Amino acid sequence: MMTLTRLGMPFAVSFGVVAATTGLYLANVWIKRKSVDKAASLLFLATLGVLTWVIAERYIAAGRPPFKTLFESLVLFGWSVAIVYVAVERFYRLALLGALTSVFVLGIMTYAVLKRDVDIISLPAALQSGWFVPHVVVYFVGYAALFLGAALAVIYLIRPQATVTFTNLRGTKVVPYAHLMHTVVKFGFVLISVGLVIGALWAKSAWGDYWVWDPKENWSLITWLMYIIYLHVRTSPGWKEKHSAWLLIGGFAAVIFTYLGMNMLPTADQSAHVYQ
Amino acid sequence: MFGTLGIHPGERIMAGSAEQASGDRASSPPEPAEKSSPQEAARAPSKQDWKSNYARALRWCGVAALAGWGTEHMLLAAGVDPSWFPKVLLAAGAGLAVFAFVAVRKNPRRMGELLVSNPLIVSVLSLITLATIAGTLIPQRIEPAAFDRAYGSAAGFMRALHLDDIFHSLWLSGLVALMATALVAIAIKRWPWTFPKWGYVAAHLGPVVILFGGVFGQIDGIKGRVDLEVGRSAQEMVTHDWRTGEMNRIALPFAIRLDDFRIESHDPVYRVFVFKHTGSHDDNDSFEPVVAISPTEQSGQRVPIENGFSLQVDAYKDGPAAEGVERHMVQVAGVELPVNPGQAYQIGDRYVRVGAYYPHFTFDIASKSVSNASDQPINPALQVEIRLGGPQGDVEYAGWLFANMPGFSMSGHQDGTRKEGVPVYRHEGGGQQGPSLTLSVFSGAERLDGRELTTVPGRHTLAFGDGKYVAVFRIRDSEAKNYYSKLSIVKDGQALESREIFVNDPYSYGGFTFYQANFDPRNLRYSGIDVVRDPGLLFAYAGLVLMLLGVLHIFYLRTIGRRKAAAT
Repeated sequence: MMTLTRLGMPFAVSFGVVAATTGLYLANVWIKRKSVDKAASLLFLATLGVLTWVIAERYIAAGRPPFKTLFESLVLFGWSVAIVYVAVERFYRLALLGALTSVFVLGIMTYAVLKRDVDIISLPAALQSGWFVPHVVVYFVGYAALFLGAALAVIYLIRPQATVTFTNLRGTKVVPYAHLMHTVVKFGFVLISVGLVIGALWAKSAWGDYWVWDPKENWSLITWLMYIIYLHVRTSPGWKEKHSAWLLIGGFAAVIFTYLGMNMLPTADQSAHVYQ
Repeated sequence: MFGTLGIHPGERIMAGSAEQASGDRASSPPEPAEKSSPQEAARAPSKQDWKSNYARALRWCGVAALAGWGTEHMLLAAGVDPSWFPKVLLAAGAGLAVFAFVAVRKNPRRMGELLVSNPLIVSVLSLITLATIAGTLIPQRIEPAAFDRAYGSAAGFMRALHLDDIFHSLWLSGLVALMATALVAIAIKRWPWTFPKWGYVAAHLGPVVILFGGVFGQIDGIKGRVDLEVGRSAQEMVTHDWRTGEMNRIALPFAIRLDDFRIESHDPVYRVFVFKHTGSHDDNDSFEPVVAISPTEQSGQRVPIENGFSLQVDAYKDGPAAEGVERHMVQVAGVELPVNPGQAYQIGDRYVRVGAYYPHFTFDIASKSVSNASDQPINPALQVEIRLGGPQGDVEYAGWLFANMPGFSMSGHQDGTRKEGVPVYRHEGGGQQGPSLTLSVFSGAERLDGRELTTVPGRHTLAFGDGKYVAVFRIRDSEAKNYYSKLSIVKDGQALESREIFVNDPYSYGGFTFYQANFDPRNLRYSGIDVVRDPGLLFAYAGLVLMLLGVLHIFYLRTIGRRKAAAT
């Protein structure tokens, strides 16, 4: 509790909202009522709102984009998952997806509490670049979409018969499950591609090389290649949706390792990219 | 189900059907996907077929990697310098492009079909992925002796497989070359490149253009360091050979002169940081930060810490952040004297030899070695040897002294208390002189202790809770905000151009680009400049753009176009 108050009011409030959202989405899995469903959706929108508030407040307090430390990046990750989910939910309905996503956001926020910053620190010279914000934001929104891909994969493995409804101006219809999985992964893939390219351009202007085989660079390449493999194998003969599901879970595990696992590597001290 | 959702061109080719850039149907609007026609189902290869196709694809990968590995060994045995490898790669690439054309156009049955197939591209990408993973698990391009230490008897074998430099090995290049060949073949297969196919072709040729840029950049490109001091100029840069540890000097067609150098600091922000002792491991204590107290904004407030402890800044006195010259003071037998690293002094009957100075002293448990982690005076340590009488006298004291820990020395006196005769090291400047405050520690309502703290190292800590917590008063941001070098290009004694560069803002002249690389807080007249020439850069960028636009076209633009066509 003390830790939460130390993190400031916006964070404490959003933690509460995320917890409530999670509770409602979990309830929604069992209590299949329209009102619960609607309230849960509204609460997810509120989650997005309060997380935007946390980021905005931090931006003002720090006087710089609040994406430097592990804590700050976790908040951004939570926000990214929320915004991509809210956008997806605008068109697609799948009760379990909201439950899984809200649990994930709650997990991110809890981890952020454990990894909180005791103070806001200034940006070092290398991060003072116009590429900083697009590089980080594009990557995290991409990661968020790839999370949804993996979450859908998990749901598919548990409940292959789950259905997805798609609603737009022309009405509502049931769409193949894999369609949604592929749509979000495609979106995530495009974003991690853009993030990779921005990273290369930035590295060139900061260090003089667009690629230096830094462990973080390598792992973002590994992640990217895994999704390219997915894009190619998913249509191969003999390949089943089940296999795609496992590949997407593996791909997202690589994403998480790229994000958080770098200091486990023996090559980490050669990296300019490790969260302290 | 996936098979019915999207049909990949590669699959059709493998299935021997007519080619048509069908693209990615799953990305089209969520209308129920079309079902495979019975004819298509009949043409679909059996499980046996695709298994054998993967086996064939993997064999091709093996051949490619082996060819690369063999070539590298042969070239090295023939005494060819590794700097020639990019040229070899470029020549091989040209040959492979011809091969791709012949395979697709003249010999589709035996080679072309496999070359453009999913099994091949998936196999080669998987192997490249695995190689990249290996390159993050095995330290790359480290000193050969360190590699031997890390891998013992396996080191020789690993080196023969080039596992110490995977990303520059020709076996990986062989796999990448096979991938590039497949990509070229896929583009050739799509010929003629009519407008609707542009995205597909661009997405697949983009990586080939990037690779060309990378290899071309290695042939004629270079990166080196120029170390300069204000007023000095240099007409050569230094590169470092990781294998031999040798420095090579490379002449520049002009000289660069450092006219001025300055460091911009963040506005000084002071904090009382409270750290919690979280454990000891091999005499090494670990701490984690718990709270940061602003001495101005939270002055006079009781700030709760943990376990009933709280801290209060009673009086805060602002002081100038005097970024002065760094001074080292050593106190021996009651006499304090300023010293410089690397020099010797006679103080009374004692001979004091001052060795190295590490502003950020660290001790590595694993290797039992000391090192300097940064240029910031975070843990200033001075190596001192004191002899009685003169230079040949008996050693009274030899070891490291720590400005932050006056009672502690790394020479055997590790009981944490100050002993008579142990020298005291005081460090000033290099960072801050700054403000001072008095800090009180409370347990519940009871005031336990209070102390005046300044940010001068050695007088800035207050421990409480039986040493479980320690409050440290120091400047918040230890890193420089940015640093700037004013450079001039000089030819025949004539300054041709001048510009200021800083981190993230390089400057180009005559095909070279200059990057602000580093500085030395102990020598503010020094600036490290990286000099880079990369003629392949434009190709790499063009390839990146091509690939990105291509992917966007395949995923989104093409389907929008198709939808529009359907609507009209």
